[in-house]
Amino acid sequence: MPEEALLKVVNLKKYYPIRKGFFHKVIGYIKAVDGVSLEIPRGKTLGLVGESGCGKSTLGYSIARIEKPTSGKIFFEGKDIATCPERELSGIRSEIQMVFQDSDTSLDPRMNLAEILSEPLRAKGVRKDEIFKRINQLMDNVGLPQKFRDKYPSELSGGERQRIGIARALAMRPKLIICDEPVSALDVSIQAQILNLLKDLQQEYHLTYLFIAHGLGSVRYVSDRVTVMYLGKIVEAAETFDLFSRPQHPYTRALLEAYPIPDPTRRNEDKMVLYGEIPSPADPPKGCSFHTRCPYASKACCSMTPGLKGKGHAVACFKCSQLGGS
Amino acid sequence: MKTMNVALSDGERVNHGTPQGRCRRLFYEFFSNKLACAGTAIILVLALIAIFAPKIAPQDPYKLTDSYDAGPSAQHFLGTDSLGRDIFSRLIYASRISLIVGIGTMLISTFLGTLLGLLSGFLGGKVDMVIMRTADVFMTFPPMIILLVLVGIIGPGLWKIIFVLGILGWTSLARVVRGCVLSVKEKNYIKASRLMGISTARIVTSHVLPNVAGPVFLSATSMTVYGILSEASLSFLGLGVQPPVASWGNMLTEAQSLTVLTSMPWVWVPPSVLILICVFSFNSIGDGLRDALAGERTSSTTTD
Amino acid sequence: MRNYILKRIFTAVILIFIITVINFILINLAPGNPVDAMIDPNASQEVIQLKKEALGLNGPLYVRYFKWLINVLHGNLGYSMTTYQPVSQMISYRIMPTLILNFLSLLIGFAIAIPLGIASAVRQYSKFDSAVTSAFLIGMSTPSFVFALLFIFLFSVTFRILPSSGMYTIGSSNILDRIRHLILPVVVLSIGTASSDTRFVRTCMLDVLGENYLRTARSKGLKEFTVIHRHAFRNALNPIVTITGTQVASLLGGSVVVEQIFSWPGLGQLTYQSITGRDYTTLMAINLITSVLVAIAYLLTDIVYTFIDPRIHYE
Repeated sequence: MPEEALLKVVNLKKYYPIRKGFFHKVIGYIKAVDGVSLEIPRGKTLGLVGESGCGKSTLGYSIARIEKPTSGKIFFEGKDIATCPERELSGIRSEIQMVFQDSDTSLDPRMNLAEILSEPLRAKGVRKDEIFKRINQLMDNVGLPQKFRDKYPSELSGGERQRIGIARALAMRPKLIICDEPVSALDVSIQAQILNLLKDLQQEYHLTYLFIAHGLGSVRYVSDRVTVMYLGKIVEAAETFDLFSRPQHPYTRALLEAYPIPDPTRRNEDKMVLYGEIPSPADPPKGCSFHTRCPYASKACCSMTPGLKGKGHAVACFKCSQLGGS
Repeated sequence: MKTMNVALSDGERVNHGTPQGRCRRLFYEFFSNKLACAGTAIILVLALIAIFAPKIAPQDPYKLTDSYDAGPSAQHFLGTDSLGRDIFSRLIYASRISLIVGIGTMLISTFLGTLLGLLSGFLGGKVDMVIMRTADVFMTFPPMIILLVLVGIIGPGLWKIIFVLGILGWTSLARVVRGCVLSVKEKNYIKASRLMGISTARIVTSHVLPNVAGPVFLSATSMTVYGILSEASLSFLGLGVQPPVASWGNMLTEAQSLTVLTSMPWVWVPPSVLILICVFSFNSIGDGLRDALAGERTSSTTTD
Repeated sequence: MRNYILKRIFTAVILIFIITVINFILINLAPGNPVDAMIDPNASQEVIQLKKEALGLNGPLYVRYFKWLINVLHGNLGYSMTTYQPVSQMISYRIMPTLILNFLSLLIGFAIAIPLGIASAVRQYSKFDSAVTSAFLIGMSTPSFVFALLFIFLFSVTFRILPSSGMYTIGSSNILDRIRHLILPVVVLSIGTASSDTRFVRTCMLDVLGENYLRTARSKGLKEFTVIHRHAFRNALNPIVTITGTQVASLLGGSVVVEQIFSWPGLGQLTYQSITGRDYTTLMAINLITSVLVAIAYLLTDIVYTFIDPRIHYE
């Protein structure tokens, strides 16, 4: 019995105007997100991969309504939150949270951990005497010792800071957590710890994740389903196992093949190499946005934009049926 | 990866995660700086002297006597000036002037600077441009000259001086505050706070102001210093606080004559020393503040 | 890059325009008749009358502004209310002495600040560092005129080795005499600039000394001297140069009190005399000229920065 998805995004667009000249005339748009649709069922994890600059972070911010989308719909528990004004969002605010990439800017360096965690609790209206207990509980959840309450972010390691970021997101008791490159800045061994923590928390609190990353290994580990983004559009979407074992879109295949395989016997002969640089989102190529770098591009690819086709395993490419499998 | 629940011992400080904890820590750091402590103490003493001047001063600072330019004596501890007024008493009353000017200038310029800097940083666009261009204009006028021009137009006097000094001093603080706001605006923790549904006003008070507080307090001390030194210079030239009101600056005007300079050191040395002590103390407080705030930012070597 | 320079010039022109407007407003706020001030009082009655009408005695404010502006652009800054001389002439005699004074003190200030600032930053927490910071803290906390009085007392009166007023002794024209007259005022001004500059250099160096690229430099085996001066100081230089740019304004205005005490015939002394003599024409003209000069100086320093700072270069 298919449950209605917790999050359903339909044809979301986020364009940034480019202004030039003395009077700040708009001369074009940066199409950061150009018609993205996706769905995440409750309790599942959707991975989102792509190169830097493909719009995945913007997509995350748009869904969380940190940025206001240009057009499209975002159905959260059935209600469209894409373009409604800020005051109508107050009920939603605690339901969708984000975990950011660990950097200098994720935690206020002037607040100690207890202060960082008490901020969301106070915003949610938790009573003063309760706050202390809840902070303890949150720190336990993410595996940080109590004595760290008085520490400042600068005194913590990368992994520890990321745990606090997760605790902060958890504090609001959200239903959906958007993770924006949560492990990209960490050592591989610490990445594993954090990923495991995320999975544990998902089980315990029945959380839903949108996991945005450019590292394929981490995405593969946590995601139930994976979508691949290129220049603001989705080019392929499938169950994790399907995507990694039978990638169809040339871009996906190139991404996966660029990933080094330690076992020498499993290395493919026909490696696909991606040439060129990712085009600017202010001036995307006509037709299929990937055709400038695609080794299989044909005339049709230069003039017409392929739509996302397929149910379980969807691809946006004219050539894919010819390259085998659907 | 989960740690066991550790029961807290009674000795642990219960921290509800309020900003007060941070203030406590800053106080601690500030007062461990010896010069800053000394400075604070001196200013407090000066403030007491200023407040209780009528009780402390032995004579009426305005009273003219017949003994002009007399040396120190039992009756007049530091002698008398050219009009026969008791220098010691005038010295004590003059402390009021310097402190009032310093604090007045500081309050006006800090208020203006912080407000305009916040507006400029947050609202951006046209507002930002107008405010910053105005600051440019203010900064292009050479400091003393514009001061003299304004005093020339509106006339000397204690409150006029404070007003002029205040409205000339806001530019550097506004710039700094604006820079702070701009750098904080885009940080991820601000985005996280927005996600919690916290209003912009609360974000400003809990995230932006603490980051801005450092430069603001620092600027407050330098504005106080600027006010006191400027008033001293203006009064010295006869264009600031006018006699018979006593100000350390105008008590030094007489020293321009070589006779006074060479043979009557009791006239000009005490006011000079007091100005030095007063300004030095405010500067030490500023240094202590700056060191205490800088200590927060230094990160210990991180371990992974 | 050319676009940037053009934009800067455009901004500077607007700035100067605004300065003239403000100046004009101030002139009208000051006591005295601004129109009368622009006319040569030595001319005959009819000429005065004609000129008065030409200057728009009865016209609306903006008309008077433009007529005043045109006068200014032709070099007519008015006539002094006390000496009846053309103000522009008075000012032109006085600019050089002030510039010499302030420029020298700026130079000396940096000559002291850079080595001492670097040295005390490197030796942070040592006795040397404490001594330097305390000494300059005192230097910053004392008004310039106190030092002036002190030095005059010591060197002019007690020891009688240095003159205490004027730019030169009457009748003498040798360099040594000029230098002797320069010493005290420059030293007094330099104390102020050296004190704040040293502390600033020290703070900048402290910020830079903790950075990682210095560790790399040291591990490459470079001598400590090279590490500090070539690498650390180069990067500390950036904020220092920025601050120097903002000190341009004080090149013309920072020496009023010192000039007055030492009877140094510069702009500062003229400013003071204008106020005490209620000569508002001269006062406003000084304000106008100095602000415009400072605006131009800011523009020039900005343009120089575009050549120095590679980030702007490639925009």
